[in-house]
Amino acid sequence: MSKIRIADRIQEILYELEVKSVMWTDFYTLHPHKMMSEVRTVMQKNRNTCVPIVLDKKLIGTLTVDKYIKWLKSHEKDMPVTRCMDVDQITLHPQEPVISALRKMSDSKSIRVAVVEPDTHEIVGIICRCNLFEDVLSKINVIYKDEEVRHYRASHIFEDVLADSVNITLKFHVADTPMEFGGEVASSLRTALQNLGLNGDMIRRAGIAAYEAEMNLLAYAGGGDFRIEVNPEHLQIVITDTGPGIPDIEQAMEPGYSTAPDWVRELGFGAGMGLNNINECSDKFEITSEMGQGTKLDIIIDLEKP
Amino acid sequence: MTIKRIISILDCKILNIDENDNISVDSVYATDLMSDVLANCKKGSLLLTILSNLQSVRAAEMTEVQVVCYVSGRQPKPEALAHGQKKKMTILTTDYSMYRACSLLHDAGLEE
Repeated sequence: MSKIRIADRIQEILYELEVKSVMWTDFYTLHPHKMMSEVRTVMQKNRNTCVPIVLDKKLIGTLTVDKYIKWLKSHEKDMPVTRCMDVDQITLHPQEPVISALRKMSDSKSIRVAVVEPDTHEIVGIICRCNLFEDVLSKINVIYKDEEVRHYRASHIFEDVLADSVNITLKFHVADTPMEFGGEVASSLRTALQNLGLNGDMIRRAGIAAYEAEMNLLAYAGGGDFRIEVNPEHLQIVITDTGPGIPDIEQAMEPGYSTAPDWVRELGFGAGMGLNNINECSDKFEITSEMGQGTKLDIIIDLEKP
Repeated sequence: MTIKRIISILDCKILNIDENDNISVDSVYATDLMSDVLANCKKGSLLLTILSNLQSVRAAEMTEVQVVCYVSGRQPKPEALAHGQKKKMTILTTDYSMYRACSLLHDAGLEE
C-alpha cells in the first residue's frame, strides 16, 4: 500500500471508529448521596481523577480531583458530593466518531469524559484521553492489518489462485437515468480496480474510457451493459447497448464530429471527443454497430508487468 | 503550489477541504468541457470550471484531480458537492472570472 493510501485509510478509520468501540464500560460511579469524606477512598482505590455522579443510571455531574482538593483546602464541613460536582461537563455519545471525541476533549481540555446515550441520558462508558490514544492505535493496528491482508489477497489473486487460467469478470448495468447523474458505473469500476490492486495509470485510463462510454450510453442509447474481464495479461471492457446504432463509425471517430443535441452539450459533453478519448485510453479499441440493433465497444488495456 | 496559496490568490470560499490541506497542485487546467478534462487534464492539476453539475466532479475523479475551483461565483450543485466530499476533494469557489483566475494563477507561476 502506498503511503498516501495508508494515510487515507488511517484517516478513514478515525472517522469510522466510534466512541463505543474504545470506551471503558467498567467504571466506578458515585451516588449523589455520597459524602465528600468518602471520595478519597474511591479516587485512590480506582486511581480516578474524575468520577461520574450517577442517579438511576443517569449522569447528573462529575467530581474532579481538583474540586476534591479545593474542598479539602477549604476545611469546610462534610457535604454531599452534589455540592462540589461540575454539572456543565462535556459528554460524548457512543456513535460519535473518535476523531470528534478527540477534538471535543482537546477543546475543553478534558481528561476523562462520560459517554452518554443521547435518548435516555444513561451513562454507558468513560473515555480517558491517556488511554484513548493507546486504544485507538491498537484498533487502527487491527483494522489496518485486516485491510492489508484483504488488499494483499485481492491484488495477488492471480498469483495466489492456482489454475490454468484466472479471469475475474465484473458486470455493471447502466440504467436509463438522466445523463446529469451518470458516471456511477465508471466510479464503481475505478474502486473495484483499485481494490484489485491494479496499476494507477491503468485505473485512470480504464476510468476515463468507461466514463466516456457510460455517458454515451445515457445520451444516445437509453443505458446498456458493461462486462469487464481482468486476467494476468489485460483488462477488457466490453460495452453493449440496444440503441439506434451509429450510421458511420469512421465519421463518428473523427475528432470534433458530433450529433449531440444541446442538452448534452450543456452538461459538458458532446464535443465529438468521446470515442477519441476512449481510443486514446485503450491499447486496442474496436467498435461495431448495426442500425436499429445497437453498438458494441471492445476496449483492451494491457496490464503492466510489475 | 499549496492549496492555501491558491485560496489566498483567488480569494476562494472553501466548500470542502481535504483534511490533508497541505496538499499542493503542480498545474492548472481551465475548461467547461468535460471531455476536454478527460482528454487533456493532467493528474494532480487544479481544475477551474464554470460547469457546476455532478459531471464536473466526476470528470475530476476520473482524471485524479483533487482540487476543483468554480469560477465567477458559481456554486456546485448539491449532488456535485456531496460527491466531491465523498471523494475527499477540495472544492472551492471564487468570484473571479475564468480569464482573471487564470491570469492570477499564471502570474503566481502556475502553468497548465
